Amino acid sequence: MNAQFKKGVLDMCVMALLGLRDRYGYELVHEISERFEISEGSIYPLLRRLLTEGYVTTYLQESDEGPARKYYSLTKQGIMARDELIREWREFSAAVSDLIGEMTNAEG
Amino acid sequence: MQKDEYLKKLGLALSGISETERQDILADYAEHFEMGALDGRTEEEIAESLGDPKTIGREYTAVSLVKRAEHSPSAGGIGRAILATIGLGLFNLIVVLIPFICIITILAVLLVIGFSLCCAGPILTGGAVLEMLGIVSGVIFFSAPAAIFLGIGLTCLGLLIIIGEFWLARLLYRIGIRYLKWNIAIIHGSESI
Repeated sequence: MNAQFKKGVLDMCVMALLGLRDRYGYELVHEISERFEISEGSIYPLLRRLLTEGYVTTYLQESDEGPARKYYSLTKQGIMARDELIREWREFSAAVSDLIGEMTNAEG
Repeated sequence: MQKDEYLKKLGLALSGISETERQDILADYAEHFEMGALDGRTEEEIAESLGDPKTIGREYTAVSLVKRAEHSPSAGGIGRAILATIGLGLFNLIVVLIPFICIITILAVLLVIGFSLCCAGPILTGGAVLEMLGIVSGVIFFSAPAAIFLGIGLTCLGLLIIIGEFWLARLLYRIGIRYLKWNIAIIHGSESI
Protein backbone atom coordinates (compact mmCIF):
# COMPACT_ATOMS: atom_id res chain seq x y z
CA MET A 1 0.00 0.00 0.00
CA ASN A 2 1.10 3.55 -0.67
CA ALA A 3 3.21 4.81 2.26
CA GLN A 4 1.66 8.28 2.27
CA PHE A 5 -1.83 6.77 2.57
CA LYS A 6 -0.80 4.88 5.65
CA LYS A 7 1.17 7.67 7.25
CA GLY A 8 -1.84 9.94 7.06
CA VAL A 9 -4.22 7.56 8.79
CA LEU A 10 -1.86 5.85 11.22
CA ASP A 11 -2.44 8.50 13.92
CA MET A 12 -6.16 7.89 13.64
CA CYS A 13 -5.76 4.09 13.76
CA VAL A 14 -3.62 4.29 16.89
CA MET A 15 -6.04 6.68 18.60
CA ALA A 16 -9.00 4.49 17.60
CA LEU A 17 -7.32 1.45 19.18
CA LEU A 18 -6.53 3.44 22.33
CA GLY A 19 -10.17 4.50 22.53
CA LEU A 20 -11.18 0.92 23.29
CA ARG A 21 -8.70 0.46 26.14
CA ASP A 22 -5.18 1.43 27.20
CA ARG A 23 -2.51 -0.48 25.36
CA TYR A 24 1.27 -0.81 25.36
CA GLY A 25 3.45 -0.09 22.34
CA TYR A 26 4.10 -3.64 21.23
CA GLU A 27 0.41 -4.44 21.43
CA LEU A 28 -0.46 -1.46 19.22
CA VAL A 29 2.15 -2.44 16.67
CA HIS A 30 0.83 -6.00 16.69
CA GLU A 31 -2.84 -4.98 16.30
CA ILE A 32 -2.09 -2.72 13.36
CA SER A 33 0.40 -4.92 11.54
CA GLU A 34 -2.13 -7.75 11.63
CA ARG A 35 -4.42 -5.62 9.47
CA PHE A 36 -1.96 -3.89 7.16
CA GLU A 37 1.77 -3.84 6.72
CA ILE A 38 3.69 -1.15 8.58
CA SER A 39 7.27 -0.57 9.52
CA GLU A 40 6.95 -1.40 13.20
CA GLY A 41 9.51 1.16 14.26
CA SER A 42 7.39 4.04 13.00
CA ILE A 43 4.71 3.57 15.67
CA TYR A 44 6.99 4.80 18.46
CA PRO A 45 7.81 8.20 16.91
CA LEU A 46 4.08 8.56 16.29
CA LEU A 47 3.25 7.75 19.92
CA ARG A 48 5.82 10.29 21.10
CA ARG A 49 4.27 12.89 18.82
CA LEU A 50 0.82 12.15 20.29
CA LEU A 51 2.38 12.42 23.76
CA THR A 52 3.90 15.87 23.11
CA GLU A 53 0.63 17.04 21.54
CA GLY A 54 -1.10 16.03 24.77
CA TYR A 55 -3.34 13.45 23.08
CA VAL A 56 -2.06 10.53 25.14
CA THR A 57 -0.48 9.98 28.54
CA THR A 58 1.69 7.06 29.60
CA TYR A 59 2.17 4.98 32.71
CA LEU A 60 4.34 1.99 33.53
CA GLN A 61 2.75 -1.24 34.67
CA GLU A 62 4.46 -4.41 35.81
CA SER A 63 3.41 -7.62 34.08
CA ASP A 64 3.54 -11.28 35.08
CA GLU A 65 5.93 -12.07 32.29
CA GLY A 66 8.62 -9.91 30.76
CA PRO A 67 9.50 -6.28 31.46
CA ALA A 68 7.29 -3.50 32.85
CA ARG A 69 5.19 -2.17 30.03
CA LYS A 70 4.59 1.42 29.08
CA TYR A 71 0.86 1.84 28.61
CA TYR A 72 -0.66 4.61 26.51
CA SER A 73 -3.96 6.14 27.46
CA LEU A 74 -6.06 8.58 25.42
CA THR A 75 -6.64 11.99 27.07
CA LYS A 76 -9.82 14.08 26.78
CA GLN A 77 -8.00 16.19 24.20
CA GLY A 78 -7.00 13.00 22.40
CA ILE A 79 -10.59 11.79 22.29
CA MET A 80 -11.64 15.07 20.69
CA ALA A 81 -8.81 14.88 18.16
CA ARG A 82 -9.66 11.26 17.38
CA ASP A 83 -13.35 12.02 16.82
CA GLU A 84 -12.45 14.91 14.54
CA LEU A 85 -10.03 12.74 12.52
CA ILE A 86 -12.62 9.96 12.22
CA ARG A 87 -15.27 12.44 11.11
CA GLU A 88 -12.93 13.87 8.46
CA TRP A 89 -11.89 10.39 7.39
CA ARG A 90 -15.51 9.25 6.96
CA GLU A 91 -16.37 12.30 4.89
CA PHE A 92 -13.25 11.95 2.79
CA SER A 93 -13.47 8.20 2.19
CA ALA A 94 -17.19 8.46 1.32
CA ALA A 95 -16.41 11.16 -1.25
CA VAL A 96 -13.56 9.11 -2.72
CA SER A 97 -15.72 5.95 -2.88
CA ASP A 98 -18.45 7.93 -4.64
CA LEU A 99 -15.98 9.26 -7.15
CA ILE A 100 -14.50 5.84 -7.85
CA GLY A 101 -18.02 4.36 -8.11
CA GLU A 102 -19.03 6.93 -10.72
CA MET A 103 -15.89 6.26 -12.68
CA THR A 104 -16.34 2.47 -12.73
CA ASN A 105 -20.03 2.86 -13.65
CA ALA A 106 -19.11 5.13 -16.55
CA GLU A 107 -16.47 2.68 -17.76
CA GLY A 108 -18.70 -0.38 -17.36
CA MET B 1 21.06 -6.96 13.26
CA GLN B 2 21.11 -7.82 16.97
CA LYS B 3 19.26 -5.87 19.65
CA ASP B 4 22.41 -4.26 21.09
CA GLU B 5 23.64 -3.14 17.70
CA TYR B 6 20.21 -1.78 16.78
CA LEU B 7 19.92 0.24 19.99
CA LYS B 8 23.47 1.53 19.58
CA LYS B 9 22.77 2.73 16.04
CA LEU B 10 19.51 4.31 17.13
CA GLY B 11 21.25 6.00 20.05
CA LEU B 12 23.85 7.49 17.72
CA ALA B 13 21.15 8.78 15.35
CA LEU B 14 19.43 10.48 18.31
CA SER B 15 22.39 12.77 18.95
CA GLY B 16 20.51 16.05 18.50
CA ILE B 17 18.08 15.65 21.40
CA SER B 18 18.19 15.79 25.18
CA GLU B 19 19.66 12.90 27.16
CA THR B 20 16.45 12.12 29.08
CA GLU B 21 14.44 11.99 25.88
CA ARG B 22 17.09 9.82 24.27
CA GLN B 23 17.03 7.33 27.14
CA ASP B 24 13.24 7.32 27.03
CA ILE B 25 13.16 6.52 23.33
CA LEU B 26 15.80 3.79 23.65
CA ALA B 27 13.76 2.26 26.50
CA ASP B 28 10.71 2.06 24.17
CA TYR B 29 12.70 0.10 21.61
CA ALA B 30 14.36 -2.09 24.25
CA GLU B 31 10.87 -2.93 25.53
CA HIS B 32 9.79 -3.75 21.99
CA PHE B 33 12.70 -6.17 21.60
CA GLU B 34 11.88 -7.84 24.91
CA MET B 35 8.19 -8.16 24.04
CA GLY B 36 9.10 -9.55 20.64
CA ALA B 37 11.37 -12.12 22.25
CA LEU B 38 8.45 -13.24 24.44
CA ASP B 39 6.49 -13.63 21.21
CA GLY B 40 9.14 -16.10 20.07
CA ARG B 41 10.76 -13.84 17.48
CA THR B 42 14.51 -13.59 17.03
CA GLU B 43 16.35 -10.29 17.51
CA GLU B 44 17.14 -10.21 13.79
CA GLU B 45 13.46 -10.54 12.85
CA ILE B 46 12.45 -7.79 15.24
CA ALA B 47 15.20 -5.44 14.03
CA GLU B 48 14.17 -6.14 10.44
CA SER B 49 10.52 -5.28 10.99
CA LEU B 50 11.34 -2.20 13.06
CA GLY B 51 13.06 -0.58 10.10
CA ASP B 52 16.30 1.32 9.68
CA PRO B 53 17.41 2.79 13.06
CA LYS B 54 19.09 5.75 11.33
CA THR B 55 15.84 6.76 9.60
CA ILE B 56 13.88 6.42 12.82
CA GLY B 57 16.47 8.45 14.73
CA ARG B 58 16.34 11.24 12.17
CA GLU B 59 12.57 11.48 12.48
CA TYR B 60 12.78 11.81 16.28
CA THR B 61 15.47 14.46 15.96
CA ALA B 62 13.44 16.49 13.45
CA VAL B 63 10.28 16.31 15.60
CA SER B 64 12.25 17.32 18.70
CA LEU B 65 13.98 20.29 17.01
CA VAL B 66 10.71 21.57 15.52
CA LYS B 67 9.14 21.35 18.96
CA ARG B 68 12.02 23.30 20.47
CA ALA B 69 11.83 25.97 17.74
CA GLU B 70 8.11 26.31 18.46
CA HIS B 71 8.54 26.85 22.20
CA SER B 72 11.61 29.06 22.17
CA PRO B 73 11.51 30.94 18.86
CA SER B 74 14.90 31.83 17.44
CA ALA B 75 16.44 32.08 14.01
CA GLY B 76 19.02 29.41 14.88
CA GLY B 77 16.35 27.12 16.28
CA ILE B 78 14.16 27.24 13.19
CA GLY B 79 17.28 26.84 11.05
CA ARG B 80 18.23 23.62 12.84
CA ALA B 81 14.62 22.37 12.66
CA ILE B 82 14.52 23.06 8.93
CA LEU B 83 17.85 21.33 8.38
CA ALA B 84 16.69 18.29 10.35
CA THR B 85 13.46 18.12 8.35
CA ILE B 86 15.38 18.43 5.10
CA GLY B 87 17.60 15.60 6.31
CA LEU B 88 14.59 13.27 6.32
CA GLY B 89 14.72 12.82 2.58
CA LEU B 90 15.63 14.17 -0.82
CA PHE B 91 12.02 15.18 -1.50
CA ASN B 92 12.13 17.49 1.51
CA LEU B 93 15.04 19.35 -0.05
CA ILE B 94 12.51 20.74 -2.54
CA VAL B 95 9.37 21.12 -0.46
CA VAL B 96 11.15 22.63 2.55
CA LEU B 97 14.29 24.39 1.33
CA ILE B 98 12.81 26.24 -1.66
CA PRO B 99 9.88 27.87 0.20
CA PHE B 100 12.31 28.70 3.01
CA ILE B 101 14.72 30.47 0.66
CA CYS B 102 11.84 32.36 -1.01
CA ILE B 103 10.53 33.57 2.35
CA ILE B 104 13.97 34.67 3.54
CA THR B 105 14.53 36.53 0.26
CA ILE B 106 11.18 38.32 0.43
CA LEU B 107 11.78 39.32 4.06
CA ALA B 108 15.27 40.57 3.23
CA VAL B 109 14.05 42.62 0.25
CA LEU B 110 11.25 44.16 2.34
CA LEU B 111 13.72 45.02 5.08
CA VAL B 112 16.06 46.74 2.61
CA ILE B 113 13.13 48.70 1.10
CA GLY B 114 11.93 49.73 4.56
CA PHE B 115 15.37 50.92 5.66
CA SER B 116 15.99 52.74 2.39
CA LEU B 117 12.73 54.66 2.76
CA CYS B 118 13.54 55.46 6.38
CA CYS B 119 16.85 56.95 5.24
CA ALA B 120 15.60 58.64 2.07
CA GLY B 121 12.61 60.32 3.77
CA PRO B 122 14.54 62.38 6.38
CA ILE B 123 17.22 63.28 3.81
CA LEU B 124 14.57 64.57 1.42
CA THR B 125 12.78 66.52 4.16
CA GLY B 126 16.06 67.87 5.52
CA GLY B 127 17.22 68.92 2.05
CA ALA B 128 13.93 70.67 1.38
CA VAL B 129 14.06 72.53 4.70
CA LEU B 130 17.61 73.70 3.98
CA GLU B 131 16.50 74.76 0.49
CA MET B 132 13.56 76.76 1.91
CA LEU B 133 15.85 78.44 4.43
CA GLY B 134 18.13 79.37 1.55
CA ILE B 135 21.12 77.56 3.04
CA VAL B 136 21.48 75.40 -0.04
CA SER B 137 20.00 75.70 -3.49
CA GLY B 138 19.43 73.40 -6.40
CA VAL B 139 19.13 70.30 -4.21
CA ILE B 140 15.38 69.92 -4.65
CA PHE B 141 14.16 70.07 -8.20
CA PHE B 142 10.53 70.60 -7.35
CA SER B 143 8.48 72.56 -4.82
CA ALA B 144 10.29 72.46 -1.47
CA PRO B 145 7.12 72.31 0.73
CA ALA B 146 5.92 69.33 -1.31
CA ALA B 147 9.31 67.70 -0.83
CA ILE B 148 9.05 68.15 2.95
CA PHE B 149 5.75 66.29 3.06
CA LEU B 150 6.91 63.69 0.56
CA GLY B 151 9.94 63.06 2.80
CA ILE B 152 7.73 62.65 5.87
CA GLY B 153 5.44 60.34 3.90
CA LEU B 154 8.34 58.18 2.74
CA THR B 155 9.69 57.91 6.29
CA CYS B 156 6.29 56.79 7.59
CA LEU B 157 5.94 54.30 4.75
CA GLY B 158 9.40 52.90 5.56
CA LEU B 159 8.51 52.56 9.25
CA LEU B 160 5.21 50.87 8.35
CA ILE B 161 7.04 48.38 6.13
CA ILE B 162 9.51 47.56 8.92
CA ILE B 163 6.70 47.13 11.49
CA GLY B 164 4.70 45.09 8.96
CA GLU B 165 7.76 42.99 8.32
CA PHE B 166 8.02 42.21 12.03
CA TRP B 167 4.43 40.91 12.11
CA LEU B 168 4.86 39.08 8.82
CA ALA B 169 7.98 37.34 10.12
CA ARG B 170 6.13 36.21 13.25
CA LEU B 171 3.21 34.94 11.20
CA LEU B 172 5.51 33.11 8.78
CA TYR B 173 7.38 31.60 11.73
CA ARG B 174 4.16 30.11 13.11
CA ILE B 175 3.07 28.89 9.69
CA GLY B 176 6.57 27.50 9.12
CA ILE B 177 6.41 25.44 12.32
CA ARG B 178 3.01 24.05 11.37
CA TYR B 179 4.28 23.24 7.90
CA LEU B 180 7.32 21.39 9.28
CA LYS B 181 5.09 19.38 11.65
CA TRP B 182 2.72 18.51 8.83
CA ASN B 183 5.66 17.65 6.63
CA ILE B 184 7.11 15.27 9.22
CA ALA B 185 3.70 13.70 9.86
CA ILE B 186 2.65 13.19 6.24
CA ILE B 187 5.22 13.76 3.52
CA HIS B 188 8.11 12.02 5.17
CA GLY B 189 7.32 8.36 5.39
CA SER B 190 8.05 6.92 2.00
CA GLU B 191 11.06 5.21 3.54
CA SER B 192 9.97 4.76 7.12
CA ILE B 193 6.60 2.99 6.76
